[in-house]
Formats: sequence, structure tokens, C-alpha cells
Amino acid sequence: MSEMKDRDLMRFAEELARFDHPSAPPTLRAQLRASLLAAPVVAAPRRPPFARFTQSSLRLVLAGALILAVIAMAGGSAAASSLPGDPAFALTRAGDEIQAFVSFDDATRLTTRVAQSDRRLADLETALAHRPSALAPATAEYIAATERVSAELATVLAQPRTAARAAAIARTAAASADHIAALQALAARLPADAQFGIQRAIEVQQTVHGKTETVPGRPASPAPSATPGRPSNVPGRGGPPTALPGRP
Amino acid sequence: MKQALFQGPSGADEVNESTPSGDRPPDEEEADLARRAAGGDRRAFAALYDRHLDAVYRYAFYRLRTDAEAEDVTSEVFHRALVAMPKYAPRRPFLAFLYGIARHVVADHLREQRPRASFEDAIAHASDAPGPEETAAQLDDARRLRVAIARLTPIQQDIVIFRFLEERSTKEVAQLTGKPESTIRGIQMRALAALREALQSEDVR
Repeated sequence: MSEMKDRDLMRFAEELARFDHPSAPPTLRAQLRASLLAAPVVAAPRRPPFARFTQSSLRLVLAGALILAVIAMAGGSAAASSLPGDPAFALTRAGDEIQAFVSFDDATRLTTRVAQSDRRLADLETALAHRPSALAPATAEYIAATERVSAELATVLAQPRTAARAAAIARTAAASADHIAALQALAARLPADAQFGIQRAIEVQQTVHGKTETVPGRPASPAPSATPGRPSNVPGRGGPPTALPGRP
Repeated sequence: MKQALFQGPSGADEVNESTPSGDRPPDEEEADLARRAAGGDRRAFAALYDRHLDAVYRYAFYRLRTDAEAEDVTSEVFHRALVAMPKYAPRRPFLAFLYGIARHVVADHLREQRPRASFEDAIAHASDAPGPEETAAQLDDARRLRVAIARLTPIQQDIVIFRFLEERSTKEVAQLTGKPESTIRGIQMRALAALREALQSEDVR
């Protein structure tokens, strides 16, 4: 009798498993993701032994040491001419991080990140023209650079209005519009197997552009057109596309 | 909706009592992401977020009264997880870490809400689901299930959600709840019986 009751209950359990269950709404998904990426980095629990230095002087000292280390490892010129996927590209990336690290305020850091994403776009164009094997890593590096712009932009957007903030946002908006146009031109020339990456790059860049358009009082920049044949992202919500690879 | 909620017993298939979905193999990629996230890698944390957002949201959805509360709690869980990442112990499944936080956030939320209104009042007046004139009878299946789950004890709720809605094995549920598998097996049948009874009651139909 008890066994029958248990089997009956397990059949009921099977029915439960077959129901459609709710998923997180797309707006929550996008906004929470952006908010998490933009949240301030959690401080380490222990203070470093040289905590008596002020933050800015510590930054200068560390930046100097890191720059010297990078130069000493040298590879400056090799790094400059390297493309994503090359071993020397790690130096380029390290250089980018140092550059961002030594920026004294968030607006400057945003402009620095935008300039870095300009260079990653140039890398992408170089890869297409001269080394197709570097296309995939170049696309990945470009997306990563754009995501850093997006995160930095979110930080800047949350700050009080200043001239520097407005200038950085305007620079970001202009660069973003240029990038979308350039990426769409690139997409038309890329092989089918590279389309997923480039479309993803366009989506991420459209997210950045959408964020810049949410700034009150800022005149809308020329709206980049949506990718042909592909539904556009939701730039107005300030979040990423809702179909990222690897999502459950 | 794949099928109407609670159609009653049908068919007499043999059921694997212990593992409806089978034990999932350990996910090395996820462990690596969690280690990187614990070290401050925000993109790794975002990847973990992408993987587990829906599971955390569903947990909050079924434990709370309204969609808006579920969204608030989901947001709170991930923000707390981000702050707690440096303390995350990689030997523990990342989802168990998230559910641990989610249970606390849900409990805090319910404690704050308790004096304000009954569950049924909130359902009847939820701003984001049925309108004020609607009754529980008009709720969709997921929301009816939510009303019914709310009548279970907290541990029964967790087990129903993890074991039968998320289709995790008894072993996984034991890891997620920190209770022995034998306890899970004991509670799950009582939880199912209570849930079925709740779904059959007039005010949940």
C-alpha cells in the first residue's frame, strides 16, 4: 500500500518536472549583469604593508615599477606589432592594464579604454587583411576591450555631471557609432565561420552605444543601424544581449 | 505550458526514485571560473552569473509571493555573492554557495514581509501578476505552484524546488542543503504529498 502511494507520488513528481518553469526576465538579466560588472571591486581584506602611502602615490610607484618591468621584459616593439593570439600580445594587454591603472579618474580611464578598443578594432582589421588565422583571437580581444569600455562607462554614468564626464561620454558615443559602422562593414567581408564572433562584437558595441544614449540632455548621436538580418540588442535597457554563449 | 497543472495520476511508469536527472559530473570549467571569480576576475563572475541566473531566479520565484520580489531577491543574491567571492571555498559547488546565500536572503525577506500582509493578500493584489479583480483560480500554473509551495515547510520547499522542479539528484540536493541523503529521501515524499494536497485545494485551483 505504502509502495503504491510512493509510486503515485513519484508520478506526480514527474508531472511537476514537465511543467514550463519561469526564467529570469530579460530586463533583469541585462540590468543585473551590467550592475554586477560595474560594481566596485571588493577591497582585499588585508591592507598591504605599504598602506601608509596614499592611493595615488602608491599607484604612481607601482605603475612606474610595472612599466619598467614591461620595458625590461621587452618586448615593447614586439608587443606593439603583435596581434591577438601572438605570445607577445600578452605584453600589449599588460600595457593596456597599466595605462588604465594609472588613470587618475574614471572619466580619463573611460577615454583610455575607448582608445584601447580603437586599437583592438584596428587589430581586427589587420587580422582580416593579413592574417585570417588571428581573426578569432582578435575578435575575442575586441569584445573583451569593448566590455571593459562598457563597465567603465557604467561607472562614469553613475557619477555627478562634470565637464570631464560629459566629454568622456561624448567620446565614447562617437567611437561606439564609428565602431558599429566599421564592424558591420567587416562583417560583410568575413567568412561564415567568423560571423558569430563579429555579430557578438556588434551586439556588445550596441550595448555601449545604448548606454550613452541614456544620458539626460545629451543629443542623440547618429543611431547606428541594426545588423542586417539579425535582431538588434536592447540598447535602451543598457544591458547585454540576452543570448550569450554558455548561458544555461 | 507543456501540460495543465495537476491532471492527476496517469500511466504507471517505473520511476527512478533517487536520480531523475542522474548525477551530474563535476564541472571543471565551472570550478575554474569560480576560482578566477574568487580572485577578482569580474568576467569569470559574469560567466557564472549567466549560468546560474535562471536557477536562482526560479528559487526566489517559488519561495516568494510576487515576481517583483523574486527579481529583487535575485539581484540581492548576486550582489552578495560578488562581495563574498573572496571567501568562496572552491571545493564546494558554486551553485551550493549561491543557494546558501539565496536561502538567507529569502528568509530575511520573508521575515521583513510577514507583518505586512498574508500570502493570499499579496497574490490577490500583486502588481505584476494578476489584476486586483482576479482570483487565484486565474493564476497561471507557475504561480499556482508558487502558492502551493508556500504552504510547505521551508525545508520541504527547498527540496521540492531543487529535487523536482530543478530535477537535481538526491545527492546534489544533499550537497545544496547540507543534509544527509537519507534525510532528503525521507522529506521528499512528505513534501510531495503535501504539495499535491495543496494543489488540490479549492483556493489554489
